[in-house]
Amino acid sequence: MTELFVVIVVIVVALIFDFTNGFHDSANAMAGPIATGALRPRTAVILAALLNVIGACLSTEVAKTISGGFFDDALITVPIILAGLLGAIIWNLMTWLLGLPSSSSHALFGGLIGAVIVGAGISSVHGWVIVSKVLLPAIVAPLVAGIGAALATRLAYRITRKTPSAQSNSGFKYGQAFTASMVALAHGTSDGRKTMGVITLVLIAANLQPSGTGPPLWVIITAGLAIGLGTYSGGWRIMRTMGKGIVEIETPQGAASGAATSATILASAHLGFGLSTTHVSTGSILGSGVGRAKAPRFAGVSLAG
Amino acid sequence: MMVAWLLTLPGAALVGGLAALLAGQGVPGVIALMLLLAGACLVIYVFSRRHRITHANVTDSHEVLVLAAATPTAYDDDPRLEVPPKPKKVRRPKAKSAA
Repeated sequence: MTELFVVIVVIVVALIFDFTNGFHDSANAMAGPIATGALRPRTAVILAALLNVIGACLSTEVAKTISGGFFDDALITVPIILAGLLGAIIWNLMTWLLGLPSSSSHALFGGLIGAVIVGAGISSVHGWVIVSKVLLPAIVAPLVAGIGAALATRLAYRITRKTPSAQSNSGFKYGQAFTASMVALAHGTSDGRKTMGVITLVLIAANLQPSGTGPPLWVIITAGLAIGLGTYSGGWRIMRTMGKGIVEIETPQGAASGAATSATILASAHLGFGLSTTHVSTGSILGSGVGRAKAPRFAGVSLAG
Repeated sequence: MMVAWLLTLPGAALVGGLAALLAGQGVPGVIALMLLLAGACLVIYVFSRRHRITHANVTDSHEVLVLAAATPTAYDDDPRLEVPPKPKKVRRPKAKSAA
């Protein structure tokens, strides 16, 4: 009876984490198109939310390990999962308050690691795995995406330099909306999987589900809906930082950075290392600013009026 | 921002570790943890209301303020107070001088 209570609590908390994941990462896909006016804010978050849900439902296989190899999986108990989720939620909310685009996956890993250290001692954490799976990707991912975005931006401006900007801009708006949609879809697939994995693990640990089986349909649907709702609610604070705070984005840059982001995420997922969507898209946006260094900057074009 | 990236993992680990202390205490610990979570969410939400950013003003500025706002509903240079709503469906960008 008490175990069932704890399981229910953990599932609810996992869905809350999924929700914060959604609104924290909404900006990854949609900050660009909103900043340039390629999509109106409401349209953008609705589109991103729908694609998130679709992306979450597309993923049939759940992440095999939520621990990411940071420690022995046998150490994961239901209270540790609960504590880890809690740490992740609180950290997500605090960075959201400050408008900081930080990684939701890192928050989840961090929470779990902290919980394991308290529960099983610091020696149970594999330090080198943290270096190779957290520190290195956190440097490499934005760098790769940034270089890709810089080159794509340079190319986009080069190709269209003789086209009247009014014409090329309307084309780039469609391009930007499309690449942003790809990012939203990829995000739903990768991050939806994480929550499904957590819930499935808890169900297995509580003997409510035979081990080695995938998530039941209701888990897929609720996890998809939670992340979609989170995305729909916007996370406007992070959206502002990513759309305006880093560089002023123009439509060609937005299209280029979205393309670089989705290419990097999809390629890395295919190669089997999970990069942080947030790091990749932040790197792309930075890179698109670098790529435009020689391009005209239409200072003061106000999107609001 | 790089600092925030590097802080995310240890920061969440700290919260997760503290939470693990409570979570290990059985059902009362779990209930206490839920209450703390609800409290923390509420506090952060209240702080966020001091300087609201919504779909209406997301692209107006490049700063995210937390404490520096005067009132919850209007702040200095609040564009919503001056600028008429955005015209619908403009295919071509407006003249640059209009800004």
